[in-house]
Amino acid sequence: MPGTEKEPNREEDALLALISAALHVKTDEVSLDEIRPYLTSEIGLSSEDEAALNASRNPRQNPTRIEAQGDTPESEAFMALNRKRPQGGFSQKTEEAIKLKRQELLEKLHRKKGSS
Amino acid sequence: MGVQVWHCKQPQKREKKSMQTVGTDDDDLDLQARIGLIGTSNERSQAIELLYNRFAKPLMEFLRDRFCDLTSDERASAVQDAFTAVHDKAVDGTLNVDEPLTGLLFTVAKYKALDLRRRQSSRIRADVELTEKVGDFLAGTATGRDWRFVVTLGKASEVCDEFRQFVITLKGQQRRVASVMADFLPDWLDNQEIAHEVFIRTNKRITVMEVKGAKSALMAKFRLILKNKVS
Repeated sequence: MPGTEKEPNREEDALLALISAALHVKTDEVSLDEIRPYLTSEIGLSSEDEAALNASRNPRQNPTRIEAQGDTPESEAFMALNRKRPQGGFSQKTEEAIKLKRQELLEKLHRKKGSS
Repeated sequence: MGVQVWHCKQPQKREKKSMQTVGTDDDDLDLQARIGLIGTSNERSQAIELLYNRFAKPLMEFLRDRFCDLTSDERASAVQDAFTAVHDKAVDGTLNVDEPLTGLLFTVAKYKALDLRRRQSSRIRADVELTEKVGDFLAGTATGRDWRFVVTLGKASEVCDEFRQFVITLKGQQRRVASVMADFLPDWLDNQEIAHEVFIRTNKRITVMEVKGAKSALMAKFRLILKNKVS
């Protein structure tokens, strides 16, 4: 039974359990229902959050900047980003499949834009 | 069990139909970003830029609502890591470009934030264990009765939100103890173990008395919010 030895007060245990439930975040995928409110309304961050977001976007952490700086294979950061890609790059077959997929998505985008 | 236990803003099961994004503009942006991510290095950079400009702030707000125990810097770091992870997947060829990126970004950001919360903890149990057992603690208590009433009034989420807003304002030990409590029910860790868990996660030592004090402050606030909703 919960709360008989370590926390003898059952009311306290009940409160602590509710606190845990209120703060707990599950490790499952985020659903669109959860995301939607954050995309449909104007987001006004606190000045502290805004500053933290700006500060986090430094060259070391920003992939855009890492690429801009590190297009040479010897760049350590660039190498780290390529850890799963085969050393000599993808096979010709894979490269062609990527090209085809890209073409397919481009056509999809054009169709969408054309119909809107 | 008899007492309804809920979780504020917890994800629901993802259905197949959710393989869409949110609006037409976001659909187009998402698609455009996916095209860029399987393009040249420069196009990948632009795609990340596009995603960042659209989703960085929503992600930050999303994490703020769920990880009130983390600092702004930690949440920002999780946001940044999510973009890096998507970029990483594009570079190493493991990104599924048939799927929208929006959900992936939010999910990765959440996982990064969970990693920041839990750090090196080795005591984490399955979610279901925690959510299923909360009711056991509420059964037969005045707190449980109040809670049930608040649920009936449809104000459970308000209680939760108010409490998390309070936690955001906390500093030091109280916030660290709250962070540990997010993963453990009352009988899972005693105060000594909570102090140890705080040390594992933050490398900061706190005393058992400080744990007790932090728990008392958290309980007092939760009780107050609950009572205000009931009365």
